[in-house]
Amino acid sequence: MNVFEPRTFSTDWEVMVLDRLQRCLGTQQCDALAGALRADLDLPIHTDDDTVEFGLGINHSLDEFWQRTKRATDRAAELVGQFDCDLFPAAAHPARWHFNASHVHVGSIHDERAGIHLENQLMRHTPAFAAMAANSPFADFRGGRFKSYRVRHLAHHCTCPPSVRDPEVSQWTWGGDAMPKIYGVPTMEVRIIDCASSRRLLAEMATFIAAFVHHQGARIRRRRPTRQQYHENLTNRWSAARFGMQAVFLWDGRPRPVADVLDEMLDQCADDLAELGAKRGDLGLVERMIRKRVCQADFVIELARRYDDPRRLTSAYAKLIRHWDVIDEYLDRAPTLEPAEAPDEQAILDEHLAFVGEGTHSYHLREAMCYPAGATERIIEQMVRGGLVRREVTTSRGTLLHRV
Amino acid sequence: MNALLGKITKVRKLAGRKTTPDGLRRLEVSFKPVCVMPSRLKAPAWLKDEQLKVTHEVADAREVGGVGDSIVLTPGESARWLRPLAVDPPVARGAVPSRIRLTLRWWKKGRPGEYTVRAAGRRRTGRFVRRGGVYTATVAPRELLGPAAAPPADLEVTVKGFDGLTVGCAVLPGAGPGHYRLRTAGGPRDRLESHWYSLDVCATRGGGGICRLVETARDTDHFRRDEELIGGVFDYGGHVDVVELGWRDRLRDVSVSSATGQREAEATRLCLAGPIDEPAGIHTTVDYTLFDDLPLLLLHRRVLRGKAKKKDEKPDDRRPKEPVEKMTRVRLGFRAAYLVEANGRWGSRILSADGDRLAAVRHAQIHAWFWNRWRLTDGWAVMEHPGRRECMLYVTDAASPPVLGAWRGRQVVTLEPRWPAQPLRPQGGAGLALGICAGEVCGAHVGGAWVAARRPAADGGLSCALVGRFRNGPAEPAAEFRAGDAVAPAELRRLVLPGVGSVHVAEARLGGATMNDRFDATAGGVPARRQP
Repeated sequence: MNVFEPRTFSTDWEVMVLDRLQRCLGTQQCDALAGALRADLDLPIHTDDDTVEFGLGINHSLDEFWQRTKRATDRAAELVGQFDCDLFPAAAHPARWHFNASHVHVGSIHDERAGIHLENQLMRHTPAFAAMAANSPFADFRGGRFKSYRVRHLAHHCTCPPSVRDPEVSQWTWGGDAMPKIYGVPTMEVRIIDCASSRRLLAEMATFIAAFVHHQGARIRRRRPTRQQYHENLTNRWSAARFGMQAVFLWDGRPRPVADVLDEMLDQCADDLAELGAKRGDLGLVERMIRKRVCQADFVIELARRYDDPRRLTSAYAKLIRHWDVIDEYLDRAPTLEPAEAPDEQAILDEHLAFVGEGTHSYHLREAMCYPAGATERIIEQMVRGGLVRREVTTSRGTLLHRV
Repeated sequence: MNALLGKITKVRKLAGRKTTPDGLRRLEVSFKPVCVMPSRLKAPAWLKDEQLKVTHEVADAREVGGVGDSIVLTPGESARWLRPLAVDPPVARGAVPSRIRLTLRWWKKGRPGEYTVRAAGRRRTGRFVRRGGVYTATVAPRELLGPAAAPPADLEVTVKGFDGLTVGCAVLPGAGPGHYRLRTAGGPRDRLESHWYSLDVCATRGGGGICRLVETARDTDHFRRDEELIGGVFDYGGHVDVVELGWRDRLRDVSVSSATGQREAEATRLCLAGPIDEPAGIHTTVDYTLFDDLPLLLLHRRVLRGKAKKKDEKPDDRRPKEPVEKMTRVRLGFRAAYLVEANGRWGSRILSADGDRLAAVRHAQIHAWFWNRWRLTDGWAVMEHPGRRECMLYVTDAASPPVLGAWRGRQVVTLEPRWPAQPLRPQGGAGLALGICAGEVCGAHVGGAWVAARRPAADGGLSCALVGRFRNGPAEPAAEFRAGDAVAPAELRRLVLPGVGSVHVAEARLGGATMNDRFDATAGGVPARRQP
């Protein structure tokens, strides 16, 4: 039995709108445009923090989702064009502190207890979705090191690594990477997905994610992840943000390229894809990404080699991705990339050490890979014992770390 | 640096052989200038209705876009349009220069208009001559000022057709302390000079801030920046004050204009004033006092709330008013931005006393904020860049110290203290006072900190000086300077700076030493910090 009945899916796709002075429209203006689109298209198009948020209604198949996406974006581009504006479907703004997502809602689920178990279960797989969707390698004047700064910085706490929950002893929560959202439209919401710059890719990713979540919906286990599994998931989440499709995950203690993980996930949910009117061959862009280990972020990184300045990068980037097929074309011509190294103990230590300057509050190290208190403390202890950092415990400032 | 944003009027693909070896295509883009990034203020008047062209190399023509799209240029590409006219030399000392050379890097169609040089109420016009890719002209100032002309003089250059563009040559009596106004292509600047420093104040943004602070002897600009990045005048280097009214910094876009620069006893003072919120009657003033013989700058910022302009009574105004409604939140602070020095293990850091500990803050992560309600207990903070031997001491009133704030970006590191917010009442005011010393070496300890600088002495050797702040006075009332084998002891003497409080200063001569010798110092029992 599947907890999803009927099988549906949709997205909240947050898209910025730029005027010709390269300013992002504010929420008020976006709301006016969203209202007009809502009236025109009869779709739940709203706003979210300086974006037009394309809710694409309840969809039952890839084709339905794809047709709606095309119709909505064509009409939106036309409408904003009347005001000399362009849609800017990017997961981050290179010169502004702003992150956007393409959340995928997977329905319909009414059993929150089952949803909470599924949330625990999906922890293992959400980093793979993050790697596939990585599309924010330049954000607010930073860039180059992570393929998803949005995931790296938890999207202003709008997509956070989850805690392990138990339906009997856990509170309602919000903003996890994937979680049940029973209080509104009854769906499992996968929030970790960076805003897509290609509408076809969005349709493929949303269908794949929905099919995979449906697949899991028939296999709900009431087991909680072990400590090792939980830490592996967090390490994989970091790898996804850092390397995108080049990431190599830790999978039951062994390194495994995320491309292989996604490949297997696609196979696992083949029947569920069929329920959504799709087969693996219909997901051509996702297939290419898996085969070449590339993601949308690689396109932006290539572009940024010629546009050093974030404002100039924004200009070229926005003009390119308003054409919905540039990412699709890129995936055709992109070279195959090599998998990155799986993070070993030394790499994990180095990543945490990179946070330590002088007077660095120990709590900042929690940002490094989102490890919980116990794991972070052990790493700090290791750094102190190894003479890499000096720890200063103060009454008024907390525990401060200094690089030796 | 500023850059142009334009709207594209035409895109032309350049012929096949112009394709670059790495497969990029060359496009000639015609555009109309619209505004200047990052402020998005209108493009200069001389660019109105102009059609400009740039060539861009692109992988995909869609990067550039088409007619009606905007295009953002680099600061380098924009320079010839934003700063088309230059005068060489911009500053002359000791005598009126025999010639000044004007260079026009860009002009409108056809031949450029006449230039006009004005000085001492007289003017001379002339035509440019094409030389290479630019137009130039040479002017003999004495023809304008008379053969016996002597400094000071101020030569102002304009070109017909370039409304609003004025550059100039300031002729100064000689090297030495003073104030003069520079007409640079980037806008007017007030330059203050002492025996130690040359600093430029930009009055047109940020309510008047320091955009350049050069330690003259080492020719080191402590506020230098990456000129190829698009940024505001203080974004990547400089000191600017912050005045939050409500939640927003209201000083950021404020231009102060009524400037006077005057010599006072052994110091030069520049006073600037301007409105922050004219209808609300809120104004600001800032005084920069640069000491002649000490490496020391004193800054006083005031925010004054006068009478608000009377407004027409609205229906709301008929409601009873309570005194608290006339109160506004004001919070003062400053932002000093420096080119970041970082190599992972050491780099730019901030030092300050935090109760009984010496606090050091060095960000390892880019885009990291430091904001920890950490008060600068003794009213001092040092920004140190050990690798390039640059440091800057900020001293403020220890009785009401600010809270430390700091940030690190990719290219910049900032020191951003904020004082606690306070109520700004009608006819009330608020202010901050800072002492600033930039130098080559520093010492910092829980008991105090100092920064020392040196310069060649007129009669050989080195003049050295330091400025410090000590919690309970210096542990030892002495300082010592060293360069090479030369050592000079000096007495630490107390100096009271209005609004800032006590600092200690020491001066000495190091005979036989040169600027090439490694410089070191110690003061009040606080040794110099180790430098790589």
